Amino acid sequence: MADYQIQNLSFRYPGETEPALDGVDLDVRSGDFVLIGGPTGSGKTTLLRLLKPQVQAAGQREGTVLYNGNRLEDLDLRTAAEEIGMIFQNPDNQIVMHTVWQQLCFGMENLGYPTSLMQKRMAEVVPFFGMESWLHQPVETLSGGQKQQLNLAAVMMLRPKVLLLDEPTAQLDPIAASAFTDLLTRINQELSVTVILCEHRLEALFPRANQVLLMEAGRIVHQGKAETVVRQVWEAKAPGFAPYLPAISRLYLQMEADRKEGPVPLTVKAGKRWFDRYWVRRPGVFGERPEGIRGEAPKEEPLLQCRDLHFQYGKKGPQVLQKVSFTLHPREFFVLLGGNGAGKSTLLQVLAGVLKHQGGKLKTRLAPGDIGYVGQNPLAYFTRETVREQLEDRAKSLDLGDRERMDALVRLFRLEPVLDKHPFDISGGQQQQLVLALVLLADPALVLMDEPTKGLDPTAKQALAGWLGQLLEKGKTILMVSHDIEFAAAHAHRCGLLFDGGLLAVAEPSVFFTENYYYTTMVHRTVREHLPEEVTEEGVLARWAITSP
Amino acid sequence: MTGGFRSLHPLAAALYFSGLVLFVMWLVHPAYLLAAGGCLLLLHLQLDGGAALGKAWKGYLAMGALVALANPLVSTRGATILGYLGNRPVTLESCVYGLLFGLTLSVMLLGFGAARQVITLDRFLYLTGTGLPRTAFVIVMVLRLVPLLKRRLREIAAAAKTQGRLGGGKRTARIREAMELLNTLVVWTLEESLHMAVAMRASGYGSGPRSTFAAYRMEGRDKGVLVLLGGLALPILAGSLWGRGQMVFYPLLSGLELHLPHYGAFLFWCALPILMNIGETLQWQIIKSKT
Repeated sequence: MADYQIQNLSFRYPGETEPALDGVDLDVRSGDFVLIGGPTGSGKTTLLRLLKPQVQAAGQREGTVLYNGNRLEDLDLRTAAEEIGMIFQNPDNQIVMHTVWQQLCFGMENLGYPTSLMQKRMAEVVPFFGMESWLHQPVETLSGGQKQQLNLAAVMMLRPKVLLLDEPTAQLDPIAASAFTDLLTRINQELSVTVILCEHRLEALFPRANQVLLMEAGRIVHQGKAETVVRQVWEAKAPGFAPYLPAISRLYLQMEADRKEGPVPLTVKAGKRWFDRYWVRRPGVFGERPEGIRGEAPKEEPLLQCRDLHFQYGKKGPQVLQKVSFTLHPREFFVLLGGNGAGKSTLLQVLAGVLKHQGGKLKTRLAPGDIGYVGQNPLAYFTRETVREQLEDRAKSLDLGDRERMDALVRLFRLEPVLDKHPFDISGGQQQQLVLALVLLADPALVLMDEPTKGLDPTAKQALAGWLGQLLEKGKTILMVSHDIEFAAAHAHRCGLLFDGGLLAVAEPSVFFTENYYYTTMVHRTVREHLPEEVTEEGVLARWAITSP
Repeated sequence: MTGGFRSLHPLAAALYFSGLVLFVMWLVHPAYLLAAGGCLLLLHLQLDGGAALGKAWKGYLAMGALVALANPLVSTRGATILGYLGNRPVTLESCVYGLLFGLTLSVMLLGFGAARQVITLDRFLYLTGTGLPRTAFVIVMVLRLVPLLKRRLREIAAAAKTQGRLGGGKRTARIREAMELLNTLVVWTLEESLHMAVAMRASGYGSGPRSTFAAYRMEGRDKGVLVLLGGLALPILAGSLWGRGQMVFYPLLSGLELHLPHYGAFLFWCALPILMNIGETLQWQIIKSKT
């Protein structure tokens, strides 16, 4: 059994005036799958960490947390370590040991299990997770998805009754993320382990959860079954939470605005069933595709051209790039997609001049200083004690006499409130904005970005899209590497798919995603039989709006 | 080859190699050294077809040659003077001693090379862990940390390079830039290690005494080998205390007397892994021919 009863729980971090949690009530029954959503800083993580004694933050707490009817504070630490398992966002920060099997034993060793018991547990858990082939590998040879799977397996070794997960898939690519979610669902269904999960990407999780909470500023704003919450959010006209809903649900709610009852589709399957019927019921409601929903990229003299680019790490290393050819035009927004290890980041680093290609031609009329590079991890950029010093140091090294450009960037990225904070102490989104500001101080013509949407909440993602739009208006060119299909479909001028060392299928999103079967947006998978060229919610609505009054 | 000597319990393997190195250091005698060297060469061939040896043999030989050359130049002991270098005498005895001592060193290095293949990292950690669990735990954590730090440093260098740093220039500026990057690495790593500490606590670290997973079980064969090694070590040690298998170098070279039973025991010690490997292969041949 693993029940939680949370009554009027409030929490305040030391030195803060605003509470991080404010009067939270929540009942979790054994075997529940609870999904907690909400923007960064809404108190999700704080709430989750108050549910396990070992990871509670220091601060002022009010209210009660009952675990199986007893106060959580009275639970002894050993039982808490075994029964309440926790997975964190960054897969690397949870792995202490050198090889996979050592890490699997780590928790059991901590609790002093004898070897015979550890062997029995291993023999059970390793096949359940299908980890036999990489059991003896050193951890650094694993992909991010494998690492997070290892963390889950290591927790499962202790036979927990509850799993607490803090954005476990935020750092993973979509395929690894859905594999992880599938495992989690299996654990919940087959072993009846209670799951309490915080996440930004809710689309895939809504259908699996039997309780959804949406939080804002330390309070639970919406709560209930997934469908109820989807309707609540829509009817409350809370613009902050609309981006959290599945795109299919949003389409449904807009196009069936007069239907106040009935189930809201949450998955592609349910969505397609509804859309097929809608298509029959309302014939001729969709108009022609309007011209120029998104301005096409101007066809000018290319900014950068590569032909048959080749790169491999070391003489015997794998050939990461084999024959990469493409052209980048000025003022276009190009998104480079591709699976894990397809060489996306490598290609970006070759273009940025960090790595040197070994074959093929790279022609550009840009000087090295005209190419800005925003790497995957903002922390790699910070050398100073405060945000202000960091910006000033960069301006100085660029010999910028006046502060005009710097002030403009600080205003653009809304960095004023954090200017005197340490770059490590601001939120992930703000860190990324600071790096963008540092890169843009040099006024580069081309900005290269490595996975900028990773780990951002939907609100931050929208803000990023807004800034990128402004850069494009100012005449900059953007080349982005991403796993984020939805982001690419909604904002890119052109997309390319990197696979097996080559760049395939370069086209504008409506063509690029239309030709794909799996590797495309949820909206496209739902409507493609009737509206084959629409890949985004906006696209479908634009054609719907034409004829509807 | 994964079975045979390589699959021996780490404790037996460690005992075997420690004994071998001890005997080789003690018994400076051409017949003993050549026997040990020959057996180890064969063992290297059996273990990985001589791949590791192919990379390292030049180093082993160079170390031996260096000692062989250096000894007569440094040591002036010995009665038979061959000639003078400057005004220092070069003696026959120190030449021979140098040669044999160099051979000893090369054979020891050969032994370490083979030991490294048999006692892999996992086995080494198991050995350390049974006696010094904390030390073994720290070693494992460091092994995990090093590739992580390397990756972070690469990311930091990439960021710096694209911001126009690390481009050369004055030496003092370059040093200052390098220090800044290291500072970033340290702050970043401290930040991440806070998260790691929380994760470690979450999985019960510090909630009581730890146990250590013992991945290797002592089987009948391992016990047999241990008894055999003990049975061989006794006569070898006793004989060595009697002066068997040791030459006298100074002031005059002794003869190359060989006490056959003692030599035989030593030879058996050296050849044991090879015999085990051959036995393993034969067993497979028999199983295959029966089916």
